[in-house]
Amino acid sequence: MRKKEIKKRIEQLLAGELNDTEVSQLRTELEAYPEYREIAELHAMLDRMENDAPEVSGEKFSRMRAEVLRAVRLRKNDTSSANQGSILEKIQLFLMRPEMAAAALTLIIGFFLGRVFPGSGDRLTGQFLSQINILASQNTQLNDVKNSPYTYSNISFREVDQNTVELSFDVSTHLNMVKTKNDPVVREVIAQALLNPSNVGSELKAISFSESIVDQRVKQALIFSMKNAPIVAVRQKAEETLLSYKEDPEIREAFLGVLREEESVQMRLTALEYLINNKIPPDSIRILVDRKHLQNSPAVLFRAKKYLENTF
Amino acid sequence: MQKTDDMLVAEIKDGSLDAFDLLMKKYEEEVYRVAYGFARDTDSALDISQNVFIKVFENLNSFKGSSAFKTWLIRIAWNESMNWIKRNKRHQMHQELEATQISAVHKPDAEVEFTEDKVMLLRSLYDLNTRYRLAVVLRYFENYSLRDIGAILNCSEGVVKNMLFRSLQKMKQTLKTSEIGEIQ
Repeated sequence: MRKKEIKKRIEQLLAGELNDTEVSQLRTELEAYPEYREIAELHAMLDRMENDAPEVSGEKFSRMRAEVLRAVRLRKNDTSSANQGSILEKIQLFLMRPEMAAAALTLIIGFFLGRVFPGSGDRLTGQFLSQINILASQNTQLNDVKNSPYTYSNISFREVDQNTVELSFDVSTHLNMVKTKNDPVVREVIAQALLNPSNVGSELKAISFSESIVDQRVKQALIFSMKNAPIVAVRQKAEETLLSYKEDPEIREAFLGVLREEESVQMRLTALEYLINNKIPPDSIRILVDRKHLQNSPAVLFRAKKYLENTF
Repeated sequence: MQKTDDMLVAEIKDGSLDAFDLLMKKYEEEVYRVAYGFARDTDSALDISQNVFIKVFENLNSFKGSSAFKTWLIRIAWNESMNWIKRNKRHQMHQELEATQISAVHKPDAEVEFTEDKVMLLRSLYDLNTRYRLAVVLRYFENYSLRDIGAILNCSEGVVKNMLFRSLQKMKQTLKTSEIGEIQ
């Protein structure tokens, strides 16, 4: 067989166009053409290989689809906002139906009330409202609602009259961003994470991040956590972080509160040490001792008495 | 009755996201596997797949149906994989190949031999230009017909045949060079 013909046969082999007899015939021919024989061997090896892509769980695929739908919706909304001019014509047609006109009137009044009382009607809220209005009119199936980029909670309804209903609800959406640790948004989110913790892990993480940040609202959020977090580990972590704020009257007051009311002996001892080291007037401690606030914790009481003895 | 691709595409063009969800469900695994053929990493392949479907939605109006939807989709998957490769160079792919090699240590001899060959083979595959690589991936890993590969790469079956031949020729050269390298 000529070399040119061998090449053609090899191409047919790679294309899967040869039957078994033709393949074995070709193999014999290839003995004389080592460079082509190697290609045929490589082909056989590749044929044995299957796509080795690891299997992906249905959950991962459905998360991916949800992400795609979220992105697609946001883009659709952007386009809709940009095309508001052409929507005007549709609105005119819509208003020709009396019941729709009544509903629209309610919306318009609500909108102007929002403008007059800017507490709920600022520009941002307006844009947000327009986004959820567009989305609501686009969603037609339950799946659309499930994949909405916004989460609705704390929902209540009140019938105003035969045609209208007052809705009250919270809307939230998930955002993802990278910021420098000193950015005001980071401080705001840390404070929010401590005031409205979603879980213990995120609360502890927020406290860890707050260690390097000196900020009034973060400090107050830490005090809030130290006083109110249901998990002692979180309260303790918040207290440890607050130790870095020196001679701060607000923190002194908060630590006095810990000394009075906290269940954890460890935390009370830490608070007492902070107060002693930050020159709290001994009378503040004496009052606690006299009023028997430290009675239920012998270790704390012992340390407080020792401190008071030394101040004389 | 299961909806055809054309029916789903028409519904999506009319604004149905449900239809789009169905279309994604139908092709997600295939797109993922093609992407994996390039990225060699599960998470990256899923990221690529995500971008592919976003691109599909964005460009669906430009899809006029002159080719099959699947052909058009795989072409987008290929483009997105290429973009991914440009962004990530070969860093992750090499990591994955190393991992395949390491896992071979715990396998029986025959299997180790095959895994080693496989690693070498994959290395030579990644030295091909992307168009040739796609032809090989689709032909050997996804069992596409030459006609479909031609439709995706916008060329005739004859050209695909020639591409496969040249691809294997180039891979063989790469394998030889790396064998010599190892001996030296």
